[in-house]
Amino acid sequence: MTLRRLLARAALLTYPRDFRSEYEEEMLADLDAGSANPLAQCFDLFKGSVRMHFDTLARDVAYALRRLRAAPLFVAIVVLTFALGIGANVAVFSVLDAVVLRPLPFADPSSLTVLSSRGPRGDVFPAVSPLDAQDIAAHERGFAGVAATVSQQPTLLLDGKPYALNGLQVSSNYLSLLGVRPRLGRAFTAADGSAGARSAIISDQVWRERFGADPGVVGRSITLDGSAYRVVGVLAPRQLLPDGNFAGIRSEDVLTALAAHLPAVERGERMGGGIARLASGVTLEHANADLKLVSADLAHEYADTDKGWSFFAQSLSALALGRAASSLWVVFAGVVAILLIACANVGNMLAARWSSRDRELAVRRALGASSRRIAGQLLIETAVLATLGACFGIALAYAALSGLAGLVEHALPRAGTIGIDGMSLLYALIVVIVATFLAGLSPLLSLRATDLQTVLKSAGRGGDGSRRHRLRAALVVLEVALAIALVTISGLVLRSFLAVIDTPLGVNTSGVVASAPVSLPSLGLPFQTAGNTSLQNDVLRRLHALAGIESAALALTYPVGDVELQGPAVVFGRTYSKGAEPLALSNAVTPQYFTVFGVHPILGRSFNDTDTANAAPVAIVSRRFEQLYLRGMNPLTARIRIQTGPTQWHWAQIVGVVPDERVGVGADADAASLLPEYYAPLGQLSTPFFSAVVRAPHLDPAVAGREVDSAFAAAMPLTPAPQTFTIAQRVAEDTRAQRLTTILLGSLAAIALLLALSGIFGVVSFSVTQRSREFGVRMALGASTSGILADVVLRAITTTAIGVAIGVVAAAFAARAIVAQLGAVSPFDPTTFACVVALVFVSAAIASLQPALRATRVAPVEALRYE
Amino acid sequence: MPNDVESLLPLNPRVFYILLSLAEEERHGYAIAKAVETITGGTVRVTPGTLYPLIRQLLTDGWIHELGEDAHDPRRRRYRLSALGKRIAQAEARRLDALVRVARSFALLPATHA
Repeated sequence: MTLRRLLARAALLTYPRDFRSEYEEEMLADLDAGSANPLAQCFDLFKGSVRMHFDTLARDVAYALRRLRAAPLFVAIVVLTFALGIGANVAVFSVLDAVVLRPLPFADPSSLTVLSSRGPRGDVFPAVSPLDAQDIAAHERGFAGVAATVSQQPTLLLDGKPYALNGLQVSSNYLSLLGVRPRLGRAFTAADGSAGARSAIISDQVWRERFGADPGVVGRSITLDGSAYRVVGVLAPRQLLPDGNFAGIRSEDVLTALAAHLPAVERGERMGGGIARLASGVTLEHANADLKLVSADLAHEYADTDKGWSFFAQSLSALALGRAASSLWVVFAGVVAILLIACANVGNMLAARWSSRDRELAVRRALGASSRRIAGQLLIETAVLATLGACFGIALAYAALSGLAGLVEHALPRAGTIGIDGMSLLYALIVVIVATFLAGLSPLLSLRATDLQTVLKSAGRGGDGSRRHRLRAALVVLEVALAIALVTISGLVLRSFLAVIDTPLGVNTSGVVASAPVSLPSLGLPFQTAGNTSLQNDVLRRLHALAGIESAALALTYPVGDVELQGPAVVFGRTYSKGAEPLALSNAVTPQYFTVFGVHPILGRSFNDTDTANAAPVAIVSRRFEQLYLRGMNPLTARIRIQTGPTQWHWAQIVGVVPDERVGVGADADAASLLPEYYAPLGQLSTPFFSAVVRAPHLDPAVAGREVDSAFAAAMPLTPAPQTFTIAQRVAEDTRAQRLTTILLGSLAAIALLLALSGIFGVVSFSVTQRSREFGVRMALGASTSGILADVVLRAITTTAIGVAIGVVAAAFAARAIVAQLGAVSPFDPTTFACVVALVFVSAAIASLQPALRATRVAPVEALRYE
Repeated sequence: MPNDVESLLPLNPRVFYILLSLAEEERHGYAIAKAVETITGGTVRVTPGTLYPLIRQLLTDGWIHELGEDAHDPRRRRYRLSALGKRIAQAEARRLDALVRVARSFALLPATHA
């Protein structure tokens, strides 16, 4: 009997309190009389309580909907506000979740690291030579496995047609180390790494587009760069892979097995990637401590190439996602601010609505509805509005993500996985709950603050307590402060973005069209040897012959090109300690390169057609090179060392000095872009690749690009024509991530400002309505229109000013937190702050103008009638 | 206003049986549950978790009235059918009767009944 009682009482506790106080006794009496199983009874009671709560909720929702139907304009504004706030949240969360929060698509991704090198000058980059990767694998005990990669751009020859692919040469343990299984066939095995094995695994996309999704492709032979490879597997759809290098993670078209023995690779060529998996129980710190010892051994053993170098491991996810993560968290902070603004706005609208209906609420309370019940119904009303807002918001988010897809695609890692999914909807649900309480809380508090009696007595007067007014003003202050912070941050990010894309490159790039590098090994040719320049000459001759092209040149690279070459700057007659030679950018160009970019030598001459492989080696240096490395010398008598092939070099006579060019833009490129540079004639070097640059000032860039393509196609029919672009397009491509952040923050700032202004408008408007009698009296007593106007607007400005003061401080703190992302722009940039403050004040004045004008039109007689 | 009542049909079967049990005589909650069990030959049971929420709803809607404490057991209250409740129960019975007649005319049920 006691157990029955206990269980029954526990179950009864879940019923609404008023119901319980009314029926508990009767129910217990019935239960005592019955003889059912106590557990079944308890379950039955519990079921009844759930049903009852659900019925109450359904009735409350129906009631809320009925009441809201009577105020369509109010509903429209609130739902729109919520839709903007929740939609922005869902959109940004979906991006954050897909790009940053979700684990990388590999087994135990947190233990995956990327081997990186630190050079004698302290420069750090995520690359190692495959030979070093092999030695680290053999000696480092903190790793469960190490895989080596070398990126490659092979040409697939299929039915006589060439297709350019992106791919990786990988050691045979690469896929198993990652825990990635192909959808068809198998991963590489040790046998694939033996000499002459030539095995390949293709991507799902290549499998579909080039092989018609034929399952029989496994085992088939394909031609890559002129050699036959056997396809042993097909990767899963949209499989992302780490390149162990600069790209982080991306999808690859083809993987080929890297030979276990690497005779042709130079240890000093740190162009490969190394992926290492930490052994279980080993931390990154431990592994790195051990790696330091391995580095010291290698530096000792291979003093020629490894002296002064050390290796360390970085977390793969931090490397692949870190940059995107830091930008996206800033944007996420922005949407949280937007949500707060939206909730403050809705809170004020609800407070105004509920106060004008105070009498209905008071009457209901007088008729016996408990405060809890009323508060519950009002919260349900808020929840209904938030849910409606969320529905529209999710639609907005979907539209925004579709609209941004093109922009996002190359700006963020694994952008292909972004979409509205279950996690987005779960997040939307959480946001709805949070928004309901945030928006509903303050009006509920202010509701408590009103005395029931006063409300009933003041029928017809609609008095507004000063306490409530203060609460409403506080919310507007909060909105303004948040909006200021957000607009300022977005302004700073915009300025830094503009500074980056407007970075002077030091050369005239207008009318210049450039091509991506064309790789010679992909032709099946050996390295182009110096002097055997027939292919280059052929391409160049065809470029010159094109209509509308003023000048044309071939070059290894060009400003903001794909390739950045660095080498030691060694001046003849000077001594350097080994491995500590100063660094310079290097380039090799044909004579018209400087003409294409409108560059004239400051000193000496440019290259000309006599600087061939058979002539005396020559070089041209940049002005910064001269200033830094040739101090106290006549540059035109100095000689510098030029690498002419994988293992050869010669001394080249400097024949000219040219102004500095900038080879890259953006935070990444800053340090390297300011390096001194030297140029050699392309014909005096053996090079594995080259690009074309042409000046075609009167041609549409697309047309010029097609012409360049046609020249390549005619000279090199078995090579896919390289991509062509203007330098401005290259700048845009290199700054996509920043552009995205700028656009996202800009949109958020616009929404924040809009919401804050509508908040100001709402509060001023409401207070004008409340004070209309006061205005009427003042007008009747002879107050001037302008006086009333000034009164209303000044009040709005005062409220705004408090928000501005708080917002500016908040903005300064926020800006300091993201200083790393602002580049050259100061986080306290006075122009930005001044502009934002001015913008907000002017907007606040405009937002309060309409209600202020309404205040001046109050007819004294009307207002006084009720007095 | 028969139309008014008809808009409330069909009734939840449990509600119908509760109304039927009260049409016979006024009862307290436990007696209602017992009566429903008897009326339906034990096929429908209303447990306290179902019964009292329904009673409260029926009271709120004015289909039944509360009569105060039971003479024998002060913990229980007695309920009786209101005029509105009776009209609703009758309307439901008519609706069911019409259904049964249709079923007969389609020979789904025997044509005559004792």
